Amino acid sequence: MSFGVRLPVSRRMQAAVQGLVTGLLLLLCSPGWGYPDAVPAGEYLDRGVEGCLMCHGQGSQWPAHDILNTVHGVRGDGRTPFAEGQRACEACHGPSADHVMGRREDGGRPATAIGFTAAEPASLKDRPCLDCHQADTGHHWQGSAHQFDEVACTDCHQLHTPQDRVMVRLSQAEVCSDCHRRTRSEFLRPSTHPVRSGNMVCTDCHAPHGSMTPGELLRGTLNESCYECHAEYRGPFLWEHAPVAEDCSSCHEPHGSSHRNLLSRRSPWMCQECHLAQFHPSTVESGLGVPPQGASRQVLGRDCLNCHTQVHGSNHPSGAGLIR
Amino acid sequence: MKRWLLAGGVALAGVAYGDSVVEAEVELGVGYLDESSFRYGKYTGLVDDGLEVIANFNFTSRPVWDSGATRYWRLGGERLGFDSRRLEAEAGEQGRMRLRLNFQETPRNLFEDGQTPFLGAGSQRLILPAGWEAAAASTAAMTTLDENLLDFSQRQRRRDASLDYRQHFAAGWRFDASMRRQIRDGRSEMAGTIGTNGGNSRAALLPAPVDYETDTFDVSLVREGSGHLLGIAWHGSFFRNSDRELSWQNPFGPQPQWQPGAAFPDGFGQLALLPDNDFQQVRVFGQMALTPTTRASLDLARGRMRQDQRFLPYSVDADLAPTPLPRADLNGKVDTTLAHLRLNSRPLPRLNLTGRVRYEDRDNKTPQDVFLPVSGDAGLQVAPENGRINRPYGLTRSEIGFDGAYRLPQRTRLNFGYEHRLRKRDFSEVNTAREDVFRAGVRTQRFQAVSLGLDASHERRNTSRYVGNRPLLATRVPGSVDPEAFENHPNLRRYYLADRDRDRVQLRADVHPADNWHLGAAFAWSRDDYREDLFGLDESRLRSWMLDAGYVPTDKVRLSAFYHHDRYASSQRARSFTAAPPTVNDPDRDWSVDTRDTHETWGLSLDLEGLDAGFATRDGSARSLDVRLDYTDSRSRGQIGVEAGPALAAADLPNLSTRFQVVSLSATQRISEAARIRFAFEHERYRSRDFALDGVGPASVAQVLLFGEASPRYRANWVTLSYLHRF
Repeated sequence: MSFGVRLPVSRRMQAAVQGLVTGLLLLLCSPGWGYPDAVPAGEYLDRGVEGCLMCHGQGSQWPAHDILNTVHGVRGDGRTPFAEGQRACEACHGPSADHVMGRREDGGRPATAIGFTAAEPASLKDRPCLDCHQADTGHHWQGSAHQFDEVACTDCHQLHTPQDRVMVRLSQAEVCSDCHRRTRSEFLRPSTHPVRSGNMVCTDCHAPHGSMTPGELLRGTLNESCYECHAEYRGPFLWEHAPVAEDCSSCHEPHGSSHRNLLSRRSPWMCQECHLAQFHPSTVESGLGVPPQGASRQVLGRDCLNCHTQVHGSNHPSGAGLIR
Repeated sequence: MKRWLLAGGVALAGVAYGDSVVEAEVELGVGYLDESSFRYGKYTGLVDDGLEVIANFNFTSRPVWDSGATRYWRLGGERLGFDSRRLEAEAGEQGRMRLRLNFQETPRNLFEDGQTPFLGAGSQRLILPAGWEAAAASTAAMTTLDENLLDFSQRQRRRDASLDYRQHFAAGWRFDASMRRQIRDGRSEMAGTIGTNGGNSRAALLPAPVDYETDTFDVSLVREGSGHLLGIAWHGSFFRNSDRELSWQNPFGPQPQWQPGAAFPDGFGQLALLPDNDFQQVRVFGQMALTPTTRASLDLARGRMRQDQRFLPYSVDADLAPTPLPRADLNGKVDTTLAHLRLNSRPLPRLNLTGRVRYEDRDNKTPQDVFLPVSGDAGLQVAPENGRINRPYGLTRSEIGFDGAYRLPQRTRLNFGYEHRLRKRDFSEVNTAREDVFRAGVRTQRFQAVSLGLDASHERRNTSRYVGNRPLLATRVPGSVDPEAFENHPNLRRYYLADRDRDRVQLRADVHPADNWHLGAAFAWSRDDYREDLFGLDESRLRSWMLDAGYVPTDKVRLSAFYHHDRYASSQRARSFTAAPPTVNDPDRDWSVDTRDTHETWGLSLDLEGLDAGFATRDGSARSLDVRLDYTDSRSRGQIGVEAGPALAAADLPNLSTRFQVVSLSATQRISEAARIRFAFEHERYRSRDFALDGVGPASVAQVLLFGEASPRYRANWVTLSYLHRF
């Protein structure tokens, strides 16, 4: 493997870059000046969940009792916040003595150490989650697109409800489209994967907690991810179509397109962007090939695929032209 | 399979014991579709007008929170009356193990108004009806075509069953195993071509069989320790196609260049269907905290794809290919290697840095041979010197890059990043491509109630020398073609291999004028500029606008709206040429195409939740009503403008268009603590215009027998009334 980065700069500039890189490495290896987003100091009450439910029980103004109807409320599981020896609500919300005992000047109660509010940094809100879920989220969370963009766990997940919407297949896409709004519109185009009908969900392809693939896909590469459901196109074929073997997105738009089979652009012109051989591949295809002016076999029906049907590759000994 | 899954689910249900809360919700009802529509039920299977059963259920047993119990189970079913039904079962002991079973059916209905004269649709051998009158020159001269056309619908069904098991062990060990079987059957379309070259070839769209089965397995073992995580995993995917080949009787009469027997009635064509293949991969991965603020993660994966399906003969007509195949099967082998290292650090409380290195290799070890093809089951086998050599494409991708984010005071954040990519390809016009990507952005919430974001990136791709005829020379017997010979025009630059500048800008603004108001606007622009002023894709652009608004007047009422406008534009240039050298260099034969795809989508949504109906139920609880109303309108328009030089003739094409409108209303009335009645109505309307389909019948193109289906359009009203009960 060789990256061979050639810097078109002077020696002084190269020295500066080297200095910068060395400085960055030193920074990375340093223990850090101050722990990022440390939980605010305070006193734990350790009164158990009952103390909190006095104000946050069923029918209260700020109900939180439903947490006990979720996986986090199972006391028998020693890993949960409500297990013996754990700190119940304070396990996530941090030291809350001030919240219970104190009063602000306006008469209200001070917030818990971690209030999971919009004003708090994501890294602070994520800390109690990651303390337990480092393995569940996968080892790619740190540095993933969502983590780097400061999307907090609680921006997607709801904990105080028996049904977390992002974990329910029929409502997951709605949660994702709260931020990925352009993708929501793409799924309304004529050619899409069956997400709108609920047969597919975002996590069938994407790993929201990060992965090693650009686009945070489930498998190691884009093509491997597509082969999860389209293994028939994996090959290898005797006669391969180079961009197909390399990258499905060379021709396809995964979220939606106005062209058939999620193609990025209209064929035959998309095919002609790469195939400009003598005779018919280089012929200008225009309105003269459409009724009533004409009937071009390169435009009507399946255009190029009227003959070159094996566009994903052919395993026929006479199939070099991808027609067999 | 469904029976097996259900039995498994019920057996699992028995696992749970006391100290549990059992909850159940059952929805039963009836739905009515007013008009049959193949496309309305594209993925749901709701195709025929009339009544359908609504049946959903969900049973759960979970431990009482303070009982000390940890066992649970769940059994669920959705859309049981439809062809898109889904069943789920899960049981386990929280913190120790879990077992999940899933089953899902997904139909895929593409069109139902196709027509074909072939008998045996969906089988591996298609023949023409008795009395078929072939024609050599044109499909229009097939005098018995109309009377022999049979309806053909392209419909597929995917059944997907999976089983996942997870076991936690002491000391942070975790074992996961999953298996998944996907079965896909139905009919697809293929094209069968018979002929020796583009001039005399004749084709027909064929109703082809789909009978696929894919088994996928994943097994992993992970250990999570204090500050580190280590794992090893195996992935296997095995695809099987029950159909190896597709043969069809040639519906066309003889051409002078064809060998005797290639035309109707004796002539048959044969093509290879997608071959069986396997993929297996072993992966080791881990994560480690190097310092309290720095984490490293590493993935290493090594895999192999294999394909050794027995070859079909060169031609279905053995007399045309006296020379045998060089091998019985491909013995295709591709070794894949993946390495990914990421370092994430917060060296300063306000600074977040991520560095990554990625290496990806597709080492194609498929053997090469000289094949002596028969053109379209109609010509003689080519001489050995004109044989074709297969090209086992290989590819290596390396990437190194970093991203940084620095929090400034006043809730402002700066983003910056750089990435260098290197791609090396075998048998390609370009051996090496280098890309440099620069990214920068700023986000701020310093103004009360306003947040702003701006991101921009510049990407530059430089490639090694473009040798247009390298693939041609690689596929021919050495010495059999002139080293200067070419297939594609020498001035063509394929877009995925060409030098390119890519610029992107994104803007986002969110305003909260009041606690219960939200207004948002976003703009995105990107441009791919292929720097060399040659043939191929010249430029492509995206311009996207988006507006959205939300209003929550009370905690029971939510109103939202959005508008989204996307415009993709691209320009390409080319030259129409023939074998004669003058046309290769004749600028009067240049042509260009400008395409513009515009998408416009807008929608409104109103949620009314827990509305008080003004009186109590028999059990004293409030009789509340939930209502949701949605409207979505999505339009697309495709414009294709063609310009041609003086030696050519061209005209613009009619616009392509689609319009998709959906109105949906659902109302759920709570009639007691346990019972609800739900009413839902959906109106869907779809219209499209496509010059390649509309007004184009099976015999509209002289040399190709088409299906003749129209571009889809439908209008459907779907009403449901159901009763939900919670136990």
